[in-house]
Amino acid sequence: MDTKPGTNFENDRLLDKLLMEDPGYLLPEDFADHLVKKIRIQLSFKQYITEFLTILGAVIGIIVAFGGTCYFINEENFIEIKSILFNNYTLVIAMFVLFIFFMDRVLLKMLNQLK
Amino acid sequence: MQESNLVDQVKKGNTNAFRFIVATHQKLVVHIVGRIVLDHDEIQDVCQEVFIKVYQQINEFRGESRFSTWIASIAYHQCLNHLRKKRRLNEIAYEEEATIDNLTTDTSTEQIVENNETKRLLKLVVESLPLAYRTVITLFYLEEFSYAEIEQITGMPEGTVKSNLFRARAILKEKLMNTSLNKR
Repeated sequence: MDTKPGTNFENDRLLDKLLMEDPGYLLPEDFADHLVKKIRIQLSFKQYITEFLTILGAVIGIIVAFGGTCYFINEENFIEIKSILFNNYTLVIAMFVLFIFFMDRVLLKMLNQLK
Repeated sequence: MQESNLVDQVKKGNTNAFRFIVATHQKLVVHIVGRIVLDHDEIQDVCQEVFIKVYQQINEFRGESRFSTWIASIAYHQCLNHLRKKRRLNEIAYEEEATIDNLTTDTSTEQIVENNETKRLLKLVVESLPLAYRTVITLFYLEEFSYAEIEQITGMPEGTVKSNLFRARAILKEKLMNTSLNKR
């Protein structure tokens, strides 16, 4: 006994048609805008972190290179320079801040433009 | 603008081109995510994760397949990861099957097509299928991917795709017919 509402062919056709219909899952209208905004924030954050690490690496590299050179040229002078620096730490901090400011505002912008 | 040009623009960091890609493919992604994840509260978050992954991995797209196939593959795998995280991979929505038994539909073939309740019923029946079945059903019927493309997206061999499709159809037909008979 055929208990189905239509023939097999009709049922298959019906099923195909139903399966091709939109199931009605929806995303907000501003989904793309919101997503791109999120990606831009992530990219900016990544760029800031990269810039910060670049500056930090450069500063540490320069300090190590300078200290190392002084040490190898003249150990006594190195100790003397070290004591001068430690005794005038306000001056050292001021120079350090100035150097970072220069790296951030001038050198990095130049490097970005070269890219 | 051609799709390959858009992809090149995104690779160069053009976020406006990416916005266009998102707008063009969001329906594809929401269909896949919706059918696999099922939980309506999570669909939007998973879709976001999919597109963020698309953006991060776009340099790996070499144009060997259609861009939509590539995106669908990312969406599929992201959904699996999401489900794995929630330890629900083998879950079947049993509670929905009970709902299906209580639903009624019109018996006339033409009325069935037009009837919104039937569409809702079909949605419930599809969502109650095992994950592999509802995945192939979605990719084949809703997004009209070929067997070979479904193989690329899911990693299932083409033979498995075909047999999953056949079994899924058989289950759907049986459940839909049973429901319409209950009404009689």
